[in-house]
Amino acid sequence: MFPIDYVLMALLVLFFFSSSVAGIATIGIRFLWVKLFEIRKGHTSPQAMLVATVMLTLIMLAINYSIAMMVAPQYATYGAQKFCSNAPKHGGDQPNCTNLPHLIKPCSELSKDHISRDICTPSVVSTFLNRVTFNFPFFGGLAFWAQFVFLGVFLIVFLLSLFRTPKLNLSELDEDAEVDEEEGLLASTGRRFGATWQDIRGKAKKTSVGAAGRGSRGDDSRAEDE
Amino acid sequence: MALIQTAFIWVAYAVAVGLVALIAAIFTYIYQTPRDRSALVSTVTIITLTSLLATVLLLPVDIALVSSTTSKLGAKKDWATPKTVHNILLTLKIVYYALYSLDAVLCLLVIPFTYFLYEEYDDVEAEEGTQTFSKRFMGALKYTLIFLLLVVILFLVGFFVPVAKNRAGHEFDLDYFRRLLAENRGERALTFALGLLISLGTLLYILYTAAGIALLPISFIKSAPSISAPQLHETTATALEQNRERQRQIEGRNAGREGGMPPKDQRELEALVREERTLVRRERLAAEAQGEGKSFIVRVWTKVCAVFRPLKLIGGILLLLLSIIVWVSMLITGIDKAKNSICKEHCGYILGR
Repeated sequence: MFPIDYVLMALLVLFFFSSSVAGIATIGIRFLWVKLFEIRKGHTSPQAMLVATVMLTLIMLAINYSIAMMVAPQYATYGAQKFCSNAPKHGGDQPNCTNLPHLIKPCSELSKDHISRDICTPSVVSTFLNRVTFNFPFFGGLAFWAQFVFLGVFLIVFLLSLFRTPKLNLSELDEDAEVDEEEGLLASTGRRFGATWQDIRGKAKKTSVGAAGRGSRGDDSRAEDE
Repeated sequence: MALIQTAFIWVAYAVAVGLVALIAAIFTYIYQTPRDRSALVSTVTIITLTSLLATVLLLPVDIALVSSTTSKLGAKKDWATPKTVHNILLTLKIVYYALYSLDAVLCLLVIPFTYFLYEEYDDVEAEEGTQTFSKRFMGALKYTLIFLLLVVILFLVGFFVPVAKNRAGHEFDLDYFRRLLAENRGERALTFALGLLISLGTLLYILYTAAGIALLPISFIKSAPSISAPQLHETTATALEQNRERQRQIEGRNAGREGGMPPKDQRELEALVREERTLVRRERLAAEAQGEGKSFIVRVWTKVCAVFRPLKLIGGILLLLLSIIVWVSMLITGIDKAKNSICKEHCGYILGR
């Protein structure tokens, strides 16, 4: 399992990061209800780019805290480390648990076992973060309780987006947004695959002029009225 | 063995940072407006994004390096002498400090400076030649000094602010905590600055990351349009042609008529003109979606996006599952920590086993 768990960890980190980008793009940079800058594909002004970058940097620090302390606390602190609590006969020797699997314990910050101190190495990032929360409990408390607010905001946004269609695809054609609202997510999925294939090829499916689609809706009937 | 594994992890990290720099460049080019772009702003954005992603990706490297020191049987590996481990941790610390400092310098000094330099730029004055570069430079420097002052104040406060002292109780008599306390005033100032910045970031994180985690998977599912850009372009062009033809017909029919157009034709013509406007706009949007008239990198990006769209649909569903799992696990950990941590807020709600 050697490299896979680190790749997964990296993907998790990137998931949080890209979510922040999506969040900034959806909500925009605002002060209370006043939108100061808009972040959109192909429409972001240089000032907005700079402000968004600073915000992302600050968010990155918070992501570091939340992953190391809330999402995967044990893993982010000690990784896959375990220690053998079978005390060695001579001081300085390595403990031996070859036939004693029940004595192998996962490392912990609160372990009173002195062997664990010799064997377990906490990760540098968790040491940084614990140093902050330990020396300045105010910051620690704030960051901790803020996670519950985070969970609450997630729940509200998630439920809202389930029950009504958010205007999320900013760069998309406004007509598509209309269609999405009209037809359900499932019904349009087949069409999406078809459209995707056409985009890959860069060509439209051959259609007769009479059935030219939404753009010409109404035109034909009017022409036949003559 | 030790050297190979450690070197492998660092090489993987270097490759990841290279990829991340590419992502940062693509991100910047996609998001910035083509009308109003500045080479300086793009460069600063790309550098800052790369540095910040490199900082985030150091977390798995950190865990991987630390984990590699013990064997499955719960003992240190033969090569992992205290000296080797110390060296590994020292290297990590140096990289962390370097990246965090780079982030701080970029965010607190370079970006404000670039921002003000850009704001100082005045089209009219530049054309008249009254705005010289040095004037802009000095103007931007003036505002940046305020930020510098803020940084200095931050560190001074951190230098003198008292740390929590009331640590009665046997639970603090642990090796782990004793190690955390062994620090000098300089380190304390850094710790304070880090704490303050984390708190600021947390406020943004609550709003933006929470909303983003909920919306990103849904936006993935909905990102594939239900009509392709070439198809839309084609149908719009046909419709536009028909529309204009019909307008010509009506105008031609009424060209020689006395007393103007009959109201029926007039109404139809008005409707046709309105429709023409919508169609023209739609055609332009479709052309934009195809990447016409855009730079090469944007056109390649639209193609790559199209190729990966079916994956995006499936990925969106997987991401939705992932975000729900993350939410549940965070909730469980949070409640567990809030209820069962032996030292609560005094030690950042550490959970002992």
